[in-house]
Amino acid sequence: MEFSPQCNYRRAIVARLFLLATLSLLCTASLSCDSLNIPPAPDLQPVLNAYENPSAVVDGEIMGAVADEIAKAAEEIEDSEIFEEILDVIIEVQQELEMNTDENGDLVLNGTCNGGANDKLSCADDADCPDGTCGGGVTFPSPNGAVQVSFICDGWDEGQFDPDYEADPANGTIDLWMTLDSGGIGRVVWGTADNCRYLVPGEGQNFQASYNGGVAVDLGDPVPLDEDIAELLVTFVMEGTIGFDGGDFRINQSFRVKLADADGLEILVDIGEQPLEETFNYFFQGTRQGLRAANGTFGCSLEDMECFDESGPVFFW
Amino acid sequence: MLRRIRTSLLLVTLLAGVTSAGMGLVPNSARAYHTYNVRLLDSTAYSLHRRRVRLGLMKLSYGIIDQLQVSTYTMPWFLGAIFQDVAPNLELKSTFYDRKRLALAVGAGFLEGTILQSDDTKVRYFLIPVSVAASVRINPEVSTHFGAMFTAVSGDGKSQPGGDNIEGAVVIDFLQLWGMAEWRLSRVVAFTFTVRWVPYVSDVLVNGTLDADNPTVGLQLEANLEELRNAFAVIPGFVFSWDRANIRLGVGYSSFFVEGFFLVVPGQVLSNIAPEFDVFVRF
Repeated sequence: MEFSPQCNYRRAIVARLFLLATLSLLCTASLSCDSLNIPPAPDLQPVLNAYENPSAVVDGEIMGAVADEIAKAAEEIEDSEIFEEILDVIIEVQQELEMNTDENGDLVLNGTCNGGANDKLSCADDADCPDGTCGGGVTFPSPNGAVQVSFICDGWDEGQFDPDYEADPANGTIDLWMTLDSGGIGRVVWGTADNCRYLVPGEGQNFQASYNGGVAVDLGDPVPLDEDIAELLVTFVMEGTIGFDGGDFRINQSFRVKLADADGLEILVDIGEQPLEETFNYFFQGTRQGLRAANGTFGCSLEDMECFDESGPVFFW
Repeated sequence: MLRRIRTSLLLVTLLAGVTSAGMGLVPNSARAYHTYNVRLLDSTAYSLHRRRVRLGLMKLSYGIIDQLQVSTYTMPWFLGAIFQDVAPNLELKSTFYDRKRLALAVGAGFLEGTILQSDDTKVRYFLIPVSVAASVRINPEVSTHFGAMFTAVSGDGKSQPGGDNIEGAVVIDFLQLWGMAEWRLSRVVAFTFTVRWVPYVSDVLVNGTLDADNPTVGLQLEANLEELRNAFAVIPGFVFSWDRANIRLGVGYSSFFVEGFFLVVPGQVLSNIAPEFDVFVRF
């Protein structure tokens, strides 16, 4: 069959248009999903600055106004151990990541032991496979990115201490975002707890606790996977409701703890009209208490309603 | 499994058979030799004319109309068959302008395949290469060719139950530029000098999950492909064109630009040897 030159020309034009349309479509499709999809991390730097540079000049009148709030917040935070619940989740993720990291610090996904005692089990390197080899995985050298964590809370069921216990999603969740920075965990972890119920072990009995609200955590520095998070001074910012032993407590508070130091707690007290305009730090260390403010560092006692320095009482309320 | 292997082998055999048949049964009107009308097709802006066929070890092409050629690369079929699943691929190339000394072309295609790893993990991949090319005939003996190819790679993996998972998007975008000088020494022998360069490679983006029950750990990873950025190859070679057969042969230095997979193997992997080879017939 012969085609006229006009017909051939038309076909060529149609072919070109079709091709250009296809190309545009493919280009758009190929460029559509080439960036990480991470919600922005909260900026905790103003809070950290407030801890480092207390701006409030504290006297007896101010302490008189905030002492009860400080005592109540400290009691709820310590009793509910909400910080421990959240840090435990972070530590578990850190351990999972470490288990999937080889001796070079590279993240290995899908590695599987071939032969040996751990045949067919997950591995990151040959050390995980006695008498076998680790292979088949995909290696990410010094990965950057994000980790999305969803933890189903253990609830108030006493059976949770059994090894076979499976948490029920009805117990609520803790959903966190972390960043990965050259294989380690980025310093800021943030997310929410959705009616997360858990038990706080006590002497002779377990207490029912819960948390519903937002949380942001600053770990101080990027944390290598082999670093002990329990030894870090961790800054929390929480806004939500703490439940403990039947009561609810509304919290909108920043505080600092070190998990390994069970008796230590530092609370950022914000007394200005604008957020973080005037702040001071109130700390608990075992039986000692005190505050750090713009006018100095003092030992204090909420029970005796006084603050003092080496020379004696400075102010009362 | 056996049935799939048999099907794969059958496909490979069929492809090899068609290629061999083409090479052996070229009609008398076979058009080869380096002539004004018969131009190099690889790394140039030229495409097959209507109803012309190119059957090669590396690539099979057919001219749908004078300005539009469809091709498939054989290696993804062969290697795909070896790694359990053939890798269908298709490439359209249109020489939309060919006047006087200048020819311009655009191309687009796709490649899709699956790699089954030793631990039964399946990794699927999908590539979309999009290219533009220009050819300039300086004189009857010497031509120069330039082009750019943007390749978008996405993929996902499915692991054994209970294991880590890599799924969703695995994304890499990269840009490849090339330039080729062609000097026709005779109507049989053409000397080519090709330079390829990768000026841009995106970071690898991967979605995955760790093998953990509670908490579940989802990952969005961004891994650096710095070693591929600025990958290049300098490849001197020859294209021999006889009445029936054509051979393209070249050995160069540095990275290996894998034909058919549109990807780049860093130089150190193959001791900086960058081969180029094809045997084909055109009729």
